[in-house]
Amino acid sequence: MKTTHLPQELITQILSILPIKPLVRFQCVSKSWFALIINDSHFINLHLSRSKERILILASSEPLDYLIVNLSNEDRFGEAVKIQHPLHHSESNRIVDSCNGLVCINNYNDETVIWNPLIRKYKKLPTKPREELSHDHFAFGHDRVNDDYKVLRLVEFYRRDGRRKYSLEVYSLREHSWRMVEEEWPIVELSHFCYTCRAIFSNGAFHWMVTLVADLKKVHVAFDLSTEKFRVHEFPVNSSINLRVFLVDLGGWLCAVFQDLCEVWVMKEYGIVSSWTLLYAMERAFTNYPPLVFSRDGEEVFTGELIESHLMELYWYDIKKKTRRIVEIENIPVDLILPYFCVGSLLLLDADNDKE
Amino acid sequence: MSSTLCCSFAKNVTLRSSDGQTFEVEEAAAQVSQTIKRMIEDGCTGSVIPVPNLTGPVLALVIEYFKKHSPPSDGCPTALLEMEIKDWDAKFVAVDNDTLLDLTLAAHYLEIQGLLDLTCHRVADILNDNSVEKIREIFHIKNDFTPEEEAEERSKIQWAFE
Repeated sequence: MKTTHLPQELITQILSILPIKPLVRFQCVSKSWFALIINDSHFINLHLSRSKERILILASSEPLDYLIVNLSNEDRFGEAVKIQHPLHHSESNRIVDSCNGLVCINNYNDETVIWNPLIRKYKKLPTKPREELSHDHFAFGHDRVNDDYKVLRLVEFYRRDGRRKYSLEVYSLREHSWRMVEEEWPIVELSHFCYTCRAIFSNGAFHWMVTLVADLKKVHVAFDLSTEKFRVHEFPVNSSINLRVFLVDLGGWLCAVFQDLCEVWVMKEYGIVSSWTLLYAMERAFTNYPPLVFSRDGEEVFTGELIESHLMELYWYDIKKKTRRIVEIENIPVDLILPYFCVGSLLLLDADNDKE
Repeated sequence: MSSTLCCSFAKNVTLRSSDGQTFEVEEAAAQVSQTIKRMIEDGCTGSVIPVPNLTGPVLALVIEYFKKHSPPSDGCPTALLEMEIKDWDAKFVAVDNDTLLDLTLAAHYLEIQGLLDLTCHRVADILNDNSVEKIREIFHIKNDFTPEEEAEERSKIQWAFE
């Protein structure tokens, strides 16, 4: 009997368009498929670039649970499904950020993990004990040049004279270790480094919107993950008004959300200050709930707002027609914390969950 | 020039499969394949173009695809035509697994991007719903894990089998 054998190149092409679950199963087909699916970074990145699986990862606060919602059908989301999460000391758990299907979470026991919730694998980072009189700020993203995933720990020290000092450390997933970074945090005289101005990962860098003490001017600070250097950009807003503004990544674009103006601006040419452009305006104020993701056709953004003290309304917002389409998610927790968007990815499939 | 007149002047080429069967097809249609297009440009049109990687039955199928996908002589394809072609494509790859793999390989050798996308997606759809054992059967893959190794790997990813 005649049999057809496909060359490896074609098998790679075909497997790269499969969803996560069958691929994880197919590592048992043969040793060469195992090596391809688990270890081949070219294949894993090819699969990631084609991945059509889109999920939301949600957290509820009391008790802390993580849930995932399948977004493949944009008109009718899947129900929120509880997933086992890797940090067992669950109090004060929070999501640092998500990137390429990986989610970084940490808690106040100083434990941090990088986790792929769809394939149930995670990597525990070496613990960093907290310094006295300090506050840790974490950020998570992808270094495109070295194809590495990095966690930044920015330690903010409170000094007796009221001034602050900062130290920086970077964890590299490739090296599985922390190291100090010699760079100085570029702005000492900032008014406050509040919880809401957490770092946003976009375009290979972390981004903060900070307010200066002297004139309440807003400045946009970026930390490039490949060069591990800071950049400081002017932020073109009228500084006489103390506007509430925060940064988000929306489909790979760095955006600024002006809460009071109900506007979302986009940095059209990344790194070019003069390219900030109004993306859309809404007819009523945002809560501090950012737009999360574009619909597949790019016409709508997924967002939500707090309508009562604990009740979140989630919807697709058509940015041209200015209409909203409410989305019901079955089994959604009432005390929902900020959701994050995630794609289906094979990254970390080789991780050994229990090993530190 | 009317399209009828155009077609009556259409040049044909002859393709020969690995088992010696020959097929005549319009040159424009055969150029859906980048490989054949290059051969025609290199001046192979006078003689028979050998297609040594494809058997007669597979080449016959590929020629059906050529005919359906040859550029229309009267300009742009309409939306209606595109929909009809999409339906036709779906039926075209609704074949047994071995034929589907043969078509995938043919699209690869002959550099027919549209057919390659079509067959790869069809194969992926079939894989999606099948068991590990069935995958080995479809792809003629020998299981080189020992039963113990396989059992161990499976136990780590039990959720993916549920």
